[in-house]
Amino acid sequence: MSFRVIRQGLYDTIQDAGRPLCARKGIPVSGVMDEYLSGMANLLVGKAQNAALVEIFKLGPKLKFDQDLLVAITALDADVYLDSTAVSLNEAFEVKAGQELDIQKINKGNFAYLTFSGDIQTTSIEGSRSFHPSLTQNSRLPKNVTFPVKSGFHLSDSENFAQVKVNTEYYDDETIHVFTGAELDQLTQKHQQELLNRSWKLADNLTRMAFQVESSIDHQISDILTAPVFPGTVQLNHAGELTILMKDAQTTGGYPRALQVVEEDLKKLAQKQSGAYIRFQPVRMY
Amino acid sequence: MNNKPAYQPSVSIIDYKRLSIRYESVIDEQLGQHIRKLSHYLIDYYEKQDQEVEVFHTYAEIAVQFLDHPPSIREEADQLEEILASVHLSDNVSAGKENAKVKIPVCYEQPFAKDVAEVAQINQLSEKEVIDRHHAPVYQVYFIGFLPGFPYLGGLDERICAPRKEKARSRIQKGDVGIAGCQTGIYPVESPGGWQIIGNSPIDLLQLSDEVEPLLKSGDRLSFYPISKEEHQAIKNQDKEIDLT
Repeated sequence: MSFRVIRQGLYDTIQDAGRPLCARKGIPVSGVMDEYLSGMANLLVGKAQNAALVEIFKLGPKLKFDQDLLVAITALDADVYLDSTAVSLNEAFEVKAGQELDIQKINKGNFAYLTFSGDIQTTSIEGSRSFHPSLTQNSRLPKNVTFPVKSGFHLSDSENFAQVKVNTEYYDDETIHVFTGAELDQLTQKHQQELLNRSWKLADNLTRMAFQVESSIDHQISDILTAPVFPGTVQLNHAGELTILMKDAQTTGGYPRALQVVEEDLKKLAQKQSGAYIRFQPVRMY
Repeated sequence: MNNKPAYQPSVSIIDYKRLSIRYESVIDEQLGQHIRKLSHYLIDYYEKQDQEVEVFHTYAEIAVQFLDHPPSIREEADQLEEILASVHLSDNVSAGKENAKVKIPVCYEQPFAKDVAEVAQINQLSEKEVIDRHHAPVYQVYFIGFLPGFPYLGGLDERICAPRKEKARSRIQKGDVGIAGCQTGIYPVESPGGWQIIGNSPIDLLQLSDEVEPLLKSGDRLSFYPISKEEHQAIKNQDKEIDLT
């Protein structure tokens, strides 16, 4: 039992919960960008929320399976076809062997998730199958390569499959909660207030490694001695540009750390498209 | 007796599951040693508490990250402050597993030594002088960061420091040995990068498996020795046994 990509998307990867405690080896966290949507997808086909699945970025792939399977795709909004019939998102459905599943454009958000009733069998590194350019053989799903799937499921005779209603309003909110970063207090009061009191527009350059923010903060902070960084660390470079590190970011960095996005809000941020606005809101600790 | 602690770090909260211990921002061998000892003390401490925690460090900072949210990160921060105030890291406290001495073969010949001419010119030395000065010292591994298994090394001869390439290469080969500023390092995996490349090692610094154990770890000492292109090829082809100690 297996699947293969017959048309690549923009950046299709296999992801799971990633490698959260490997920084001392220089290994990035990786893992799904939106664990809410990925967890929902897995639950719809009866798998553990953290099971490895396919993450799709903006433009999806066309896939083919060699056996009947239960499939679920979660997205905020996307165009998906089975052969040439539109299929519903956020609901499990059957795919017969040989049918072509075509995930076209993601209309709302950046990331969608595809999972199916069978376990992906790619190499596990540090307990995770998450792709990363510096660790795994493939950094994205290659075309016409057959990926084995271990079937552990039997489809029931039922015609009714599970579905969920995704709370898209959550994703519309501009608020991104933050802690203060190690070097924030080196900024002038004026710059600190600017950082926290206005909306910021996301630039065109959004990847699994980092999200760029359209910004030019005229600051005087110099580079720092290489120090720890994490997904959610907001760096400020020489040109005054803000970069928000995401799941595939390296473990250490040399730019001043202005803010730290709380982990819970990273999925909300991950689904903001280029041109969307965000507003940093400091968390209140009692 | 001088009871004043040698270092006065500050504890701060990074987010709901991460804490940081920060020291004065310097590269210093003694501070490095202290940080390694404290890190190992903390690893033991959290293990005894049955908390799944990673402690990792850079030159002058230790990060403590919890796998799951502790009920209160503020309380964890207070507890960490107490530990720092009371702990005595005597000379007997281990700085981890035995620190290894690792000898790494490097081919400094062409086509590997892509930027040796540039480094030589910047420093007004001959290419041979650059290479000799590169494999003379014993380097200290301060920590692993940037890329999987990438060692941050201290001890580069100041006479061969060189700024990063004006334009970063989109692809630096696995095993490439480079200089950036007054740092030297070796790329365990292929990656884009702006370092001045002066050689390549045929050694695997990283075995990618379900449990990755980088060849080098914080606290190790490392030296380089020159090999010919033929030896490089032989090691690469596994025709030649290699002893790294």
